[in-house]
Amino acid sequence: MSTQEELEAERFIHRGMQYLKTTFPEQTAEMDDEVLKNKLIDGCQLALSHGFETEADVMLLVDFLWRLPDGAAESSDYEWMDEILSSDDMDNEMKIDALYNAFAITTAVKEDEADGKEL
Amino acid sequence: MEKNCKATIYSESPDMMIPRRLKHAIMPRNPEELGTAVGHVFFGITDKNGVEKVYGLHAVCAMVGNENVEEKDRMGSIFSSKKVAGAVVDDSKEPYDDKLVYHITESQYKKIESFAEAAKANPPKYNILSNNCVCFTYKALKQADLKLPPQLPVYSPAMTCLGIRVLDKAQKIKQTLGKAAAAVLKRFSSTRKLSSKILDDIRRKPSMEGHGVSTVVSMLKSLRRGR
Repeated sequence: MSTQEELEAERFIHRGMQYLKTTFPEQTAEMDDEVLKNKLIDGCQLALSHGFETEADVMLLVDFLWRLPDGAAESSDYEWMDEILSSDDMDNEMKIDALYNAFAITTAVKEDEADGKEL
Repeated sequence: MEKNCKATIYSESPDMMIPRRLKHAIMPRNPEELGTAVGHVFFGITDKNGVEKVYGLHAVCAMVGNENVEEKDRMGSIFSSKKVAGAVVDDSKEPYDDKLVYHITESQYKKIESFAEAAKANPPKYNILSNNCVCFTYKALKQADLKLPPQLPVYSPAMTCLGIRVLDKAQKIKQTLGKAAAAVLKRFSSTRKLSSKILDDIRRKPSMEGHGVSTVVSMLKSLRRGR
């Protein structure tokens, strides 16, 4: 028999999968539900290991991770991600804001460089 | 209200961020100043008559001619967490390479002016990481709720330069992220907490189970035996 907490977590995973399918249709199209579920849980576990606790906070980080290119976690271009997530000086809201800022700047710089613009 | 005043962020690039093709054309700078190497950020506010007042926060010990300050006010390492005496000064003669101009109302002008004048009269302590020239500029302009260029936690002139140079693209990317965040906050609880153990249990629990004929027969046998 499942506890209330387990049922809520199952519902959360179900809603999380629906959210990812709606928000990232191309990335999720080729995934079966089991793979998608495990990928979602991987993201949730990463968020929990960095102090994100609530469903909303965890999903903010999961959503952000899905926006990064494949292999970003291992790439030196995205070292800032680990530095921000591991910071003891920031609360979760500040971490998300810092991640958004870093992503916005690095992506914009890359786009400008790709366009041949000297910064 | 009429936006007849201005607020301007000025950014002196760290030397390495000045494109080579423009090096000969930049404003002259003093090689002895800290800002020439690491960059400097300051701001100006222009009133409705076009008169601009420019403010910047400096570490007193880093201002040329102030090398002999007391030990307690020497910065030591550039990465030091030590807070040293700061000074808010008129930076209108400082060189800059990038600037970002906001058109603001008189009421916004007054909020920034009041913050800046109070800091000038009673200067905050300076720390190169946690309360540097960029932090001061951002704090001042936040008084008027201005949308400032994106920054990373250790606010730096280098990041301000980049933030200004890629402002439009970066703001658009941040808008997209902001919309995504709003969608997440609407759909998911901000009070219900998740448990790592329960998520692992869910991972182990398959969403479907296939039972072949031999499994079904053995299940039936065990059920009959149990009667």
